[in-house]
Amino acid sequence: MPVIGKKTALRFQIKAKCKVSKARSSSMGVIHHEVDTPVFMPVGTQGTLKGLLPDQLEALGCQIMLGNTYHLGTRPGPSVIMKAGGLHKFMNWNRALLTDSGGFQMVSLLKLAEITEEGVKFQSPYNGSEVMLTPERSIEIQNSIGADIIMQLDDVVRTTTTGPRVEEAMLRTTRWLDRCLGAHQNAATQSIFPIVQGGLSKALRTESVKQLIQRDVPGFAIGGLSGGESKNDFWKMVHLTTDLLPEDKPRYLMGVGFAVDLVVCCALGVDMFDCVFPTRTARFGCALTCSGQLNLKQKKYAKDFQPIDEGCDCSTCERYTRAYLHTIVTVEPVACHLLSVHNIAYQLRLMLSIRESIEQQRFPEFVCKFMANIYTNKEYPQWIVDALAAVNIHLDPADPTAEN
Amino acid sequence: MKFILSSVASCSNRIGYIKDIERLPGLMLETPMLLLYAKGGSIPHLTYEVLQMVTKDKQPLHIPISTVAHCHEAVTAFRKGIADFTGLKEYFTFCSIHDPAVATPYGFNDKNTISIWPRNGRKQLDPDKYMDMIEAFQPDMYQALCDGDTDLKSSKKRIHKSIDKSLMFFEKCLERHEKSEVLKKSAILGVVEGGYSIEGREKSAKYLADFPVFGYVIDGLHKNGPDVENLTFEDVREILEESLKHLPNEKFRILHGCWNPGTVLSMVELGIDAFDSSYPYTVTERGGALIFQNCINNLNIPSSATDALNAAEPVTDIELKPETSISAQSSSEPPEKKKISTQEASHAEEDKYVVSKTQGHTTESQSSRLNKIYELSLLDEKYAEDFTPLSRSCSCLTCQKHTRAYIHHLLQTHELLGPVLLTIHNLHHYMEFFKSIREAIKSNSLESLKRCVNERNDVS
Ligand SMILES: [Zn+2]
Ligand SMILES: [Zn+2]
Repeated sequence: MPVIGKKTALRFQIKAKCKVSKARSSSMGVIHHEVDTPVFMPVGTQGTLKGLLPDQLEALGCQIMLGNTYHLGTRPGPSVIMKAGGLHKFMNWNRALLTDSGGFQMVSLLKLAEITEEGVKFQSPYNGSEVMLTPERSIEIQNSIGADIIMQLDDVVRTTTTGPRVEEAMLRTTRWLDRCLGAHQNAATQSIFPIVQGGLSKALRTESVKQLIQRDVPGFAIGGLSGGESKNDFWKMVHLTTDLLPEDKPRYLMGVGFAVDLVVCCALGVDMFDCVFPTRTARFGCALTCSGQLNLKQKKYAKDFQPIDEGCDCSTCERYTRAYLHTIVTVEPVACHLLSVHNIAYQLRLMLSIRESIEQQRFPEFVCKFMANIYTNKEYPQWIVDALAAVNIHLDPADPTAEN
Repeated sequence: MKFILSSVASCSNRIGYIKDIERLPGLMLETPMLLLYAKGGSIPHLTYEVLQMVTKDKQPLHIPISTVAHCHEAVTAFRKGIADFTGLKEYFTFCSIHDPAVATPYGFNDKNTISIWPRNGRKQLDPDKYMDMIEAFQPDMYQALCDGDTDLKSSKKRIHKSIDKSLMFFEKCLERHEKSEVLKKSAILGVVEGGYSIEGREKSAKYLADFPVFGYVIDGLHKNGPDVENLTFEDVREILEESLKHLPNEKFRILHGCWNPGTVLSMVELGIDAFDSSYPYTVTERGGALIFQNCINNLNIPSSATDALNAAEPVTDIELKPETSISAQSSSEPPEKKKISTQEASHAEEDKYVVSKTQGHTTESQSSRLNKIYELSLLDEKYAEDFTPLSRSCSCLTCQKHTRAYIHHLLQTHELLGPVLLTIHNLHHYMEFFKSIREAIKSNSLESLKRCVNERNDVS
């Protein structure tokens, strides 16, 4: 365990390790909050989360939220956020925040993005002018935003890209990390995470990790996954990367948030996750439950007077029926708020159960029961069986713990 | 259910309360009251959880049938009524026909039906279909079906058609009401029509006066929607007096529509007991925050009032001034510089200063002028770096925890939290206004309140 210096903006302490798999339950202290991991971070792109008040998020047990640098850098812009005293104050959120680098958004949202050694060049969607996002500029904006954890600018390639471009991106990502670390102004309050790249190549991933762990960084992000690759490739890359990363630092798997993926990747030793899915899907009337998803727009809920989930203690399930929600989903903004509350409650409760089961040394049993609830016919997808088997958790099709 | 009044003088302001509500025995509702406008069964932008942060009081709800007609089948199967169905069973519910916040398309009523406009398209209602719905919804109070498709421009012929049809509808509804088992606990209101015709109003009111109803809805003055705030009290005063003077004084009276606060006060003076909250809703939907003075002797005038007046100035003037906001100046002053006793005076001074500055500008239309007097528009770029609350004297959650700059950002980016924060403030502000109205009536100081609220109406 590293001794915690006063100047570190992040402390990471493993509280319990699963004796079977690579799962661990830890405490990650950042300036604004003591975050229990494994943790799910809801995405509040523009300094707000789908109509929910900060008070509601706190009540839901949300510990850390993600903001998008590209959006925040455009509106309201770094100068307004800085004048407000940082994003925490601007949005009145007192717990932890994490911002991405803005690079991914540019490459995925903007058609005209071009990547050079200097940075990401793109056309402003607002006035058409040419803008360059360099590693230095990304950190400068993230310094004004003031999130507890910030991301290096990485060279993003499509997950399914192959050939020399993947290697180029991986190597450039390391070079950009050094530029980011050099530009960082708030080391005492903000921590930069580098991003492991290397596509679906074992050799490149290994090389990426090898380079990044030589730098003095408090944690690592695993990038370039969850972008259309096969699940088989996905879990193998996660498994490989967590094997190579130092144990005493947090690992953040970017863009992953489906319940099943969360459970598997916790078993593979990941500590942090983010995904727009739970809140985005709420907008379309979709509710998450331990037995799968309900699309409340469907006619079959018109006279269903149960709550979304009997076992859920969220403020939505306490008071609202599926039948009423059916009449307002996708029409009234209130419906989106109600489903967002429920879906975030679901995600956060899932993470809490994971942490508790790790601490109580019953994580493997938890995983088996969780999977049996989702796949009631016990026909588990092969990638899940394989991924869990790789960390010694064996899903038995006739598992007696799968009664419910 | 009982309605008890302090005074029953004709055409005068009155304080009262509704109690012994069969479904909600412990609840007592004071009048003049604000009915919280609900759309699709929920207060727009507020979940139950957030509503509790606005107020823990069980404010009465106003559920227009046209916004929940599509729930009819489900509520019928549910069997416990609309309040319970929408997750608000502890709340008193009143059902009207049309949505006061949306202009009702006109000219669609035929001889035996009227049209409502739920979200799945036009629906025709006759008294039987309407009463079927009411029996399913089981509101604590509802109005009889009516044809109120009249306004300032309606012809005499149209007005009389509206009166006759509404009276025929009323009798049918009352007949069903009296026979109904499930509506035993509900109160029915008669609906006074007559457009802007004095004889029409007299005819309709006199006819209804003898029936055993809990109270009345004064209808047919407008066709709903945001335009109603441009109607002045003078437009409706005579018609309103005529409608009220033939009705029994001791009965409850509702007037729907998003009237501006000044007009509401004048209507209270005539003896109207209940309004809906479509006005603060309309303000929220256009990105506005209410900042008119909503109580008497509030020497701590909200900083925002000064901004509203800035906003009322023509654009050219604003451009001449650098970051004009007086509130920004005063808030950037170190507090120790201010002597405690001068604080109030300085607010009053600011107020005077701005009032005099804005005198002489008559270029803007009545409606946009009114809007800018009662509210400030958070869409305005000048709030982008304004880190003060909407109103410094407001105790709502929004003003306690969030800034104009943040709300401006949320509106700019079309984030759902923008209207949530505005709704919290606007409803709070408007409920406080109604509290002030009741206090003013009790202390016989309605005139002072009127002066406070209308002060800025003189800016022209
Ligand atoms: Zn729930
Ligand atoms: Zn307020």
